Amino acid sequence: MRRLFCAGMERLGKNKLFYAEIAFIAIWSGLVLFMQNKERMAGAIYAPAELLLFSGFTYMGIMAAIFCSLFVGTEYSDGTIRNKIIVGHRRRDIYLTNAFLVSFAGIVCTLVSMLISGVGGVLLFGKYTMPFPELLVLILDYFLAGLAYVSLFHLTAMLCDNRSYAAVVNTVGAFVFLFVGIYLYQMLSSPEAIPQMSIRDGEVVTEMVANSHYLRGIKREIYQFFFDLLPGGQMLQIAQGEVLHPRRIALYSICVTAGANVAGMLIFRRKDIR
Amino acid sequence: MEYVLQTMGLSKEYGHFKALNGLTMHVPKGEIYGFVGRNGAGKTTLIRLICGLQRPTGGEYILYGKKRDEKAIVDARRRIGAVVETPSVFMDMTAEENLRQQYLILGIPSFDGIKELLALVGLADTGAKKAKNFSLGMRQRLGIAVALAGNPDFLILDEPVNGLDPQGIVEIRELILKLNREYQITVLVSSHILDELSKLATWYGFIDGGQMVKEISAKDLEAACRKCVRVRVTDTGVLSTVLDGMGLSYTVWTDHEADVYGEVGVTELTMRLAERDCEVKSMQERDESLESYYIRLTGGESHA
Repeated sequence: MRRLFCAGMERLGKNKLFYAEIAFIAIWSGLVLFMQNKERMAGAIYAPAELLLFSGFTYMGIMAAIFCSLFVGTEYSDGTIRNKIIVGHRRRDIYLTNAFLVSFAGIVCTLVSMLISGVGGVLLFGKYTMPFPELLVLILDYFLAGLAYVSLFHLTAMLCDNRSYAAVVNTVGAFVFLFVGIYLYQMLSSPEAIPQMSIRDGEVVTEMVANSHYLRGIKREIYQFFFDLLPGGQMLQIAQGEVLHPRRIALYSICVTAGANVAGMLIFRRKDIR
Repeated sequence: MEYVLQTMGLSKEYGHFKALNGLTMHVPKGEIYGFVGRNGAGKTTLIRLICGLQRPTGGEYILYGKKRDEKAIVDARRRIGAVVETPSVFMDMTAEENLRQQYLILGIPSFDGIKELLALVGLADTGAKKAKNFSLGMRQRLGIAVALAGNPDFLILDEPVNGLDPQGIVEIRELILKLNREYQITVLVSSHILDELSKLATWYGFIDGGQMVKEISAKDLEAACRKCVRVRVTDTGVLSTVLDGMGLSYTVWTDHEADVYGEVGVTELTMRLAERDCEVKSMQERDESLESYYIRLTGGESHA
């Protein structure tokens, strides 16, 4: 496995897409800082400095989807995955090495984003207000959610030997995760009571009435479960700084990552390589 | 005879389609084994199974004395190098970078041998040129170089001259011959270009419909592709009677044409036919080609 790892790291080091993603992240993070600073100068409400650390949540999933599909897919399209099997490397090792490499690339991208946003945020907006242990848990959750994303996209890329097809499936998947996360967030953040205006005795009266869209009981629990489980939902919670169950989402991320990798290895072991 | 590879009743099914149907073959050590079959006969499927890319649905194979379900098959596979269908090279890397990748995968501690290997396959001067800018022949040679990186004893090449120009075909042929003669590498070459294969192979396996039709050495094949005389006469019925009387074997093609095998005494044959009022229109000496031998073996419906 060490040999595969060395070969993979050398390949990653020469990969243009990897550097393009880092450059994009650096520019995006700088742009977010610039926009936030502009709002601060204009006296508008701006996000707390610590939440800027997670400003990459919108594109991280999409970039992970593209990178996993193309980095792994190239091994199929160029046929080089055959070289590893022919010389006797175990399929489990090939799967795990690739999983490690794409995860490593994802971690580097996240670190770049956090470094720029973190340093820039402190310089522009002052110290963080969130207690350090709380922030540390959020950062850990963020990384684990990212790893869960990568594991799912890596699974598709390893099992689908058509690079373009894998890229489409994964990118669509990333958007679905994001939009499902946004939908769940909207549903869950819907208030229990909403103000309603009525005219009584010729006067406009505002009173609070029950919101029919408010989720209750088992339905709310199911929505919350998926909001906590899906990487898109997790990312959204972290980016908003509103994580209800930080330990639980960390556990879910670990389960998704482990589940995707174990399932992927089992299926890849029996896969016919062309 | 020592065999590098033996398969016993090997089968592979894709859904209801039987790509290999109980294939039995023997690749002798030190030979260039020409694996002949039409498109879709099962050549590439066999190679994929041997290389561990796919699992057989039935049967067994033995590679360097190791059965496929033995743990030691991994060690046996380390003794092979293969180019399956298309060269397995990273298109956005140079020839040297591709070989570095393979060296790392193999765990070879030094990259010293790369230049020598590139020189062997005639790619020493490609410099910073990426594989995607290589010609098909250059890519094929790079694929072979990658396959040779681990110093294999057994090289498997799947249709190595497919799509190459005449110059490329000659280069690949010379490379295969060099590897076999100078480095004693056993080579399995699959192809449906029989003319090209006949310039290389020292042993043949003819596959059709996922089954081995015939395995034969080049020497025996040469004897089997014996010379014959194509005779045009007024009546092949009379010719048959005369040839039976002379103890010669023959194949009748039409009412007027037949091939006569063996040493034909032209004067005697002509006189005997004349006695029976059968006129000889023409006689032409012919060699049976590998192609016609293959067509005869597989029942004549070949696309080869």
